[in-house]
Amino acid sequence: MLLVEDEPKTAAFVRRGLEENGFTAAVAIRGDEGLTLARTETFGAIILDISLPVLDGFSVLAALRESGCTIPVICLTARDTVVERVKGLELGADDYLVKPFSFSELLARLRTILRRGSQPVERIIRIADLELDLPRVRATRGGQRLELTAKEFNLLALLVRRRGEVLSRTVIAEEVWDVNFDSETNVVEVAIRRLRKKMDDPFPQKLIHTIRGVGYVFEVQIQ
Amino acid sequence: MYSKSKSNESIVVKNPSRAWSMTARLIGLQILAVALLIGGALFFLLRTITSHLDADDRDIVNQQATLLQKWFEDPNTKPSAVMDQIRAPTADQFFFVRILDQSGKILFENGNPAAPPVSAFPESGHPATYWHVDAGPHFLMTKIEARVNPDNRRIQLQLAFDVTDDFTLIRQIRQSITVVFSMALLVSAVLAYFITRAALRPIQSLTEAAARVQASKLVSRFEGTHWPVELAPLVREFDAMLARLAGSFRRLGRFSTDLSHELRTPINNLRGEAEVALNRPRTPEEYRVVLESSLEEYGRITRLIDTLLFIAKADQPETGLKRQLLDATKECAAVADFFEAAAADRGVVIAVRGQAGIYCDSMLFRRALSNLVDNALCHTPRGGHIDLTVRSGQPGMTEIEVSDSGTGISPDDLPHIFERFYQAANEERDTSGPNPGFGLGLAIVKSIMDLHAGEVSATSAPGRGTTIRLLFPGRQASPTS
Repeated sequence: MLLVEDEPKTAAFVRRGLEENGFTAAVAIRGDEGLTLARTETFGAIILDISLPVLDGFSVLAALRESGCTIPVICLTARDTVVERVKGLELGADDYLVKPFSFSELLARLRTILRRGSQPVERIIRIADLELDLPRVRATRGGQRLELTAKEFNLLALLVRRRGEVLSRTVIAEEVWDVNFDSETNVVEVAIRRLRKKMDDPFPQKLIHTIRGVGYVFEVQIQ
Repeated sequence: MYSKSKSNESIVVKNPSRAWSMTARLIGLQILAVALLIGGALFFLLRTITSHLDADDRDIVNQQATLLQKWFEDPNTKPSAVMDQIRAPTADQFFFVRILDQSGKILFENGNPAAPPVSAFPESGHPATYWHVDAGPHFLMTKIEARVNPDNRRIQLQLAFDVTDDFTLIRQIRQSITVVFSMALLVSAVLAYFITRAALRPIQSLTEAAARVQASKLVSRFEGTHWPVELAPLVREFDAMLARLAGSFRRLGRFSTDLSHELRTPINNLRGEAEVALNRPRTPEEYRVVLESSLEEYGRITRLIDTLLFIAKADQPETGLKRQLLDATKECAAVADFFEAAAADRGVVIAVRGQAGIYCDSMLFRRALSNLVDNALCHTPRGGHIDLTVRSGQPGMTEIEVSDSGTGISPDDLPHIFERFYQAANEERDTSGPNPGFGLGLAIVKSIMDLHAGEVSATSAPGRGTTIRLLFPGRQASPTS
């Protein structure tokens, strides 16, 4: 992972977060440094700030794409204008995050990008005593069939497919309901609560966990 | 859509040759017009006089020639008698007469030393021609043949008429015309200067009025004065621009005021929690709780900034509206779907009715509708219902109605519900939940409708429910973005 970011605090927490989530990260402070690093070494993806000294993020991105480099790039910016967003995506950025962003969101998007194209198609997923049959849209737990609505199943499938990943409410709303704006509603909480009532509450082992202030994660936690 | 970036650039004068002074251009054009008019008139006058004189002179020469010819051919008159007659001092001194025989021998001349030579005369039968040497007299010459009795001998009569006076007259007229023309140009230049200055005076006033405009006081500086018809549209546009600017300034000003005001609470919480937490050593679990609480506050601040910025920017139509023709029913169903769980949780039924197409930005439409449904859900008791009704209104318009069977809004509050941060008096602001509202939901709806050049209205019967109506213009009626 290459992180090009001139703000030291941001660079530090992103790097630390990445490393604690199993990535190794190199940090460049200036745009030209980042470009040189990206050209000389191999990275899985680049996290690129737009406002950088010497060479700004757009120029770095343009230079990279011009030289035929297809490495995934996530742009970070503090300026959320449509023009900037469009410019970034037109230049070939894979995703775009506006500061202040949540780290879990960055992580989720990073993983989505890295998964792209290489995702194994899982048909039946078994975790603990939960079994998800994706093609037949059926969920069973402990041999018992779970009566889930279509959206509840989609929600569960998302959490299970991306198990171990903390998913923010924004990401969940986007993936399950195709609602891609930061809503003030607590719809996602309610949906999670109702899902839990059906698939977690009746069982001793809880699989969906709330990470307060961040989001939700599906994982088997060892007590 | 991306015209925003263009509008940020300064306006470039593309053709520098056009950047002439208006005064200079107007004066130049006026002088040119005067020159063409007076010049043309004088030229025509001169042409008329010249051709008149020319015609008169030719008549005289031809008549005289014919007269001479008749004399010579008259059988009762001897040629010598005719010559004596011409030579007599009473004869008209303006005429020069020369008589030649067939071999070219000069038989007679009436003795004018300045007369044109034999060879200068035109052939007999040809029209008369002019002749002169340098500053000498001008002659109009003609040649005619005559048969002289008694032997029917052929002679040639050369006749020259002194027209020097006419030429002098024309020269004098030409000189006066030049003087008159120059004077006219000079006078017209002076007049043009004053006329132009007077005509352009409103521009001067416009400049002065514009100079009085200040960012802090963006009120109209142009009203009151009676502007000329030509400038009235410009002044109107100026005023409209000022109004838009004032609006933008006001919104931005309110944005920063609102923002700093609303930031106080979460930042106060963050600060207080951190200070108290650091007061004495605590267990990791306690620190964790503090951090988690902070995360919630951060999320709140982020959402607040996003929302306020959205509203502040929404006034600019080029914000990036991605409008397309959509199935309104499908869009409503998608939103209803989103709230399915929350509604079921509260025992409220959401129903979508009707059929219509809609021309809008899908994301913004869903956002507006979500806010409305969310609001309705908050105010509808268990067992109630929320109806999303879609119908085609007047030509091209699409009407979306969100009605609930909830608590309703009091008539005092109703006119204000679309204002930002407005909270109904009887409504305690819910800041305890994980998703406290800012009182911005309906303000966002209003902004989104403004972006679409649509309308939003609300009716409510306290205790029976509220209906919010969104009116979207059709594709044709929409301003092109």
